[in-house]
Amino acid sequence: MIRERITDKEATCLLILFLLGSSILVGIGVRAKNDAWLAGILGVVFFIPFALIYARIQSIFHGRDIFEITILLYGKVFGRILIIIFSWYSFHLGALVLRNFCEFVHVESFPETPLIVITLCFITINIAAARSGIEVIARIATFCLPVVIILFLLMEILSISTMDFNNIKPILGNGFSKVADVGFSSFSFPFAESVILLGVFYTLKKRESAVKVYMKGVLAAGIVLITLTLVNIFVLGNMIEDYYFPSYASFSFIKVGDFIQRMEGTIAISYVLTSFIKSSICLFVACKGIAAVFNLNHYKFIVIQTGLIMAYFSLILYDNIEEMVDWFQNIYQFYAIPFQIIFPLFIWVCAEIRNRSEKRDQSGKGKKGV
Amino acid sequence: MVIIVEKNTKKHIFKKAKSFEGKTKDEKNTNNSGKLTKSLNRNITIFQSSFSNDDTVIFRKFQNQYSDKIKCCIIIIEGMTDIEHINRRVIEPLQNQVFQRPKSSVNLVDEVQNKVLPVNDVRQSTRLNEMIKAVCYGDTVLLLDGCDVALIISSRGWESRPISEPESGKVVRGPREGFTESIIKNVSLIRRKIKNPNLKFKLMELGKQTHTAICITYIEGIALDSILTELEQRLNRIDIDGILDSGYVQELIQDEPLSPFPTVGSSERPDVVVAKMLEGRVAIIVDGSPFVLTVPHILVESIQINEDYYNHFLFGSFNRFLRAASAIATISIPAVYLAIVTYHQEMIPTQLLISISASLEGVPLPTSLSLIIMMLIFDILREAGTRMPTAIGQAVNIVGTLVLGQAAVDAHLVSSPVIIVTAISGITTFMHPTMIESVVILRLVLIIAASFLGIYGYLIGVILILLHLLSIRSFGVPYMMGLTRLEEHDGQDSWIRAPWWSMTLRPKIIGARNQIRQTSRHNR
Repeated sequence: MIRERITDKEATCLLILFLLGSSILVGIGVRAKNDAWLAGILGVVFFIPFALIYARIQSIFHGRDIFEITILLYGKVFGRILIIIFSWYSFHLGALVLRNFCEFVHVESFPETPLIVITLCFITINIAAARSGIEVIARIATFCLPVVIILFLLMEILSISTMDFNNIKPILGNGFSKVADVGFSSFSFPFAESVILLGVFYTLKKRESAVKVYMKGVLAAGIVLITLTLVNIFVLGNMIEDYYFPSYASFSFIKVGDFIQRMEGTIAISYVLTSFIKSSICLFVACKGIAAVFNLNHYKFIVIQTGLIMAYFSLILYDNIEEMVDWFQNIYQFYAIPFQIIFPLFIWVCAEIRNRSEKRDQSGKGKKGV
Repeated sequence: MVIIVEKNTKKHIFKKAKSFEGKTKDEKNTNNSGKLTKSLNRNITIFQSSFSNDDTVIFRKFQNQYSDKIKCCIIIIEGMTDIEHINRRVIEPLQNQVFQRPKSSVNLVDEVQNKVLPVNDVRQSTRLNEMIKAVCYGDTVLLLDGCDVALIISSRGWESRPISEPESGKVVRGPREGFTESIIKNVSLIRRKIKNPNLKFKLMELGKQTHTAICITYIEGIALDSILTELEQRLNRIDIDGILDSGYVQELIQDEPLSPFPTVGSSERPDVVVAKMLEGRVAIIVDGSPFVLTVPHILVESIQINEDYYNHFLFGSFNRFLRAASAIATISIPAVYLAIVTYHQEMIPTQLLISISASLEGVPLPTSLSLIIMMLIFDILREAGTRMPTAIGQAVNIVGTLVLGQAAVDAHLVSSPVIIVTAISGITTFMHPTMIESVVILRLVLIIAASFLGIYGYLIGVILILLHLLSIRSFGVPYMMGLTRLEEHDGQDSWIRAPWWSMTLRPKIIGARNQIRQTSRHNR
């Protein structure tokens, strides 16, 4: 099989779209009301050290995916347990994103269409994407990113007339502790979710590009998300918490002249693209992980099965949209700790130790050789 | 129409084509001992048995007027040969010239070949199969009494279409000549544009029954070896009885046989083919077809038209942008209209919504069904129009515009926006004639997808198409190359056409062997 390769640019696009993922849909840090943008900034700041850790893991073991790395560091048995944990997270996250998006379509556009129809239609493209490999997903990401960004800029410019800049006041009205608390939840959703991309970035061409890609991607996605949150606050004010999909709601107020109005259908295009990229990556990584656990030759054999299970799993995750919002705002950040913080730390510490000792060995050998 | 006669210039082509003949498998069934005898009459009988039941084969016996001992017979096929040439250059000297029969029989053949026949391409042969094949190709076989060696005289000449402007893809500015059905003329058309010994022509034969000549053309030093070897492998794999048009070859060497997108390009214009060869592509000329194939073919070539390169670059870029936009529009407009009208009415401004719903009033069919029917009717009209004689074509026009358009709306069978959408989508189809095949299918697929899930169904369809486009390759070259990665020199010839002075490099991957197109600017 030809080794897949993605360029730095493609990887950055992939990371940005992954981070935008479903967070442009449900918004970040909405619990902090009009301080949500501060919570977003805090989330980025919290995440930067972890981004460096993720990038460090990838650049120590350049050209290997997270599954090979885990088995290398922890042996076949304990390594496999860690892989199961990691691919479970990927699988679960994929199902969450899928449910998020399908719930959005269900609530906003097709209330009478059963959720399962929408989910099955949507999982089809995820399966097709995951089967055609990460190169194709990366190329489609370079295609989608400009569309997404242009649509958002357009919408944000058009909604200037509906903005009230006083909505942002009072800054820190609920105290800093609230913002810090919400900042942690915006750390885990969406930024730290990029731990999944450790299963993808083995395709990078250069050793040092992981750091660059992570930094650029996180900053760019952070800027887009914080701008979006600010726009939402300007338009909706404190009501931001009351909407299931704040950005969709805020763009629906757009009215320019008599012709341009109700533009929120247009923005749904970018929701489709970002959610598609995110859940495809999750499906891809989950399949790779399952293939690694069972020592399969190729992950492609299990994409369809895993995809269908993911679709079904997304249907039984919650009973209704209220549960979904509750989960995202109150539970998810704690549920994600083992996967986003503990697992990478485990890998990183062990990798550093191994790296040091290897270096010592090599330099020792070098001296002997001389 | 002017009919011109092809002279016997094609000797090189078919002489080389002969070298492949050893490899063709059907040689064995033309039995015969494979050898000639020394008796003229017996030799003639051998040939007559090979060509039994074929009345177009002419056996003309004659002898020299000064020497009764020199008896000859020529074997030709009517219609394939240049009769005038044979009469004046073969029969006349053999009948009228004074020459003596030498002692040994082989020497007579030498004598005739060297001293009598004023023809430039004559060769000796002892193999019967070779002679029969030569006769089939339109050459003349000359048998001499007392010799077991025959002479094969090149004499092909049949009537063929003169070089004219191709029907497909007319231009306002640019060369107007087009390929014809004759491989010789097509080769010379290419040769005339590239006067360079690096221009290579490789011949082979395909088709077990038709023995169609095929010519692989490329510029050495620019074309990639990997593409060439891959192409030769695929051509050698072909095992078919007949090749009647380059379309056969195109379909047999495609990378993705099931994909609606073509991965082998074809053009009727020498300037287009030469331009592609200069970028590193390989051309395949098939005898009998005015369409020359080029590989590899990538998506961006569908929106590149030769006139872009001859006009001002801004105008060319504008036209190309229109073409790209209409490629997207033609498959999207019906689906998006359907999605918005059926599922997302809130996106339509109120005034427009009122007039659209007024036009929908009394229409029995749902929008999706009427849209599909109208698109199908449009495709029927298009297909009928291409085969129709021009005189009847007007009747089709009238039926199409009046009956199916105006009257259908008046009778409330379809709503008028549906007619408008169909018309826009239909007209934009013709902006890129090479893509019609794929567009017609994709449009229907997207309409059906949009009728299920509205704008989301449409997007799902688009993403599936994109995934397909991004995962296919043509001879190892990504199909979407030039459209996805916009780095320094990649985008120069895709969405826009950059001015010639800035296009100093050939496209990546295809032109990788010799990247530099112009050096003058680097030196300046």
